[in-house]
Amino acid sequence: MQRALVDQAKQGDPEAFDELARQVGDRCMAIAFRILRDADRAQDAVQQAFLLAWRELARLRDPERFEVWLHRLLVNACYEEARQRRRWISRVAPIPDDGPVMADPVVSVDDRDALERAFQRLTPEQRAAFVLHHHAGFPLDVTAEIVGVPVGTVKSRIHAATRGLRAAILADEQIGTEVRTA
Amino acid sequence: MNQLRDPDVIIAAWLEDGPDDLPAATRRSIVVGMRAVSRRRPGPLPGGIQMPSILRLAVAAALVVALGAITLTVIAPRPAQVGITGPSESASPTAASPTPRLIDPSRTPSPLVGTASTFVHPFTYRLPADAGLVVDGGDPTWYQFRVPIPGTEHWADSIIVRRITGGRADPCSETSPPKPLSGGPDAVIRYLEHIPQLIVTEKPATKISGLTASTATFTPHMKEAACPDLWLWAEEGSFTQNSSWDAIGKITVVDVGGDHVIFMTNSPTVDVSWFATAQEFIDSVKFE
Repeated sequence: MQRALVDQAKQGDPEAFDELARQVGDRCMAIAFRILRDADRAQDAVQQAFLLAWRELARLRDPERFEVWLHRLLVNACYEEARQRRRWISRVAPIPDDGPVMADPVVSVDDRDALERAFQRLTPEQRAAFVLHHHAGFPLDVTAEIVGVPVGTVKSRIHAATRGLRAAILADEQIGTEVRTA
Repeated sequence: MNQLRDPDVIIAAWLEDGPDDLPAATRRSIVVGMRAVSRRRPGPLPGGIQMPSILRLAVAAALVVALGAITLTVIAPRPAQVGITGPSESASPTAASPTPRLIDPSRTPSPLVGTASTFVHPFTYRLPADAGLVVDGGDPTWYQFRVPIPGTEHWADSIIVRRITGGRADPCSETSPPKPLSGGPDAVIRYLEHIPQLIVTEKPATKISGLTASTATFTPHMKEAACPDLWLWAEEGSFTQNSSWDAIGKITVVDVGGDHVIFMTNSPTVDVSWFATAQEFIDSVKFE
């Protein structure tokens, strides 16, 4: 199905490309948001990736590789967004001041704040590898292909990201314990 | 009562949280934008692009060199490779890295004696027994030897062998122009000493494969917004993406055939005994 659409889009069929965007756009948005942690920038990155894909699609030799290729364009667009706008918009979940506050059974506001700050300290490359593997579910070799580095480098980036995020949670936990015992 | 929670569960839940739909407005913007984008035609050089004659000449020369290199690669006898396959076809028109596709050998032990035959300056080596090192793959400019963490997909200590063509004028900038490092292996150490974000200590001279080598111990420090990563070398890749800030590293530099070849030894776990093991590996290296 997707192969046929890619073939048609390669020939310049805008409706086929639009359908492709419809099929994979949500997934791209989910990935871009998690790399950039900002919905507006994620939309910009997705738009940039799709327009580049449309421009370059005729030169994609193997239509079967469309998805990997598109994700590579997406990750490059995310890198660009991250570097153009270093300013970080922290996404601490606002607590509504009307009505009862529903406690998240897993992720507290403090957790979220700590994770957002820890994620901010990661490089865009570490974030991308972490998100592609742990959120999008790409195997390590495919992740490596998407980001264009050896598998070992991808492992290192994921390891560094995981270590940073875990440390943030544990530090947050420790502070909470100290506050409670003080 | 305080019960510690599983950080990985929290991270997974946090990662799942967020928008999963591309807004309709963005998709409309893509459709509108498509009309304004002129598509490229198949082929390495799309039509309609007018290049200056000097640039055309340069491109033609580059093509001739590339074709020559490909021809030599195809007709030349190839030595046996260590744990790698040939370069894969690049899927991206914007792909900049010629990195070959690597086999992940972490599931199988590497022979203790091997040859980095695809390295630009091939060398033989002996992996220290019981060190747990595996050949993590390599290409003409980069070989990795690492210790996998059992039961995980992660790695602990590592030795990376690279051919470098220089440093960077501003190691804090990914887009910095390169900085030539001429004057033997010591030039590389002097370059590192002038980077404010590195503490460089212990610089005993040594020999590798009969060649004079320079060494240093260094620690990246002072991570700040203006310098979130260190790009130490002219080649792609940030050093601090693969090694933590504040982690001790060791570098050994030797000049082979006019190139700087570096051995970067890192221990994320700050295991001092690892450096002795790594040195045993480095001492075993013999350039062919």
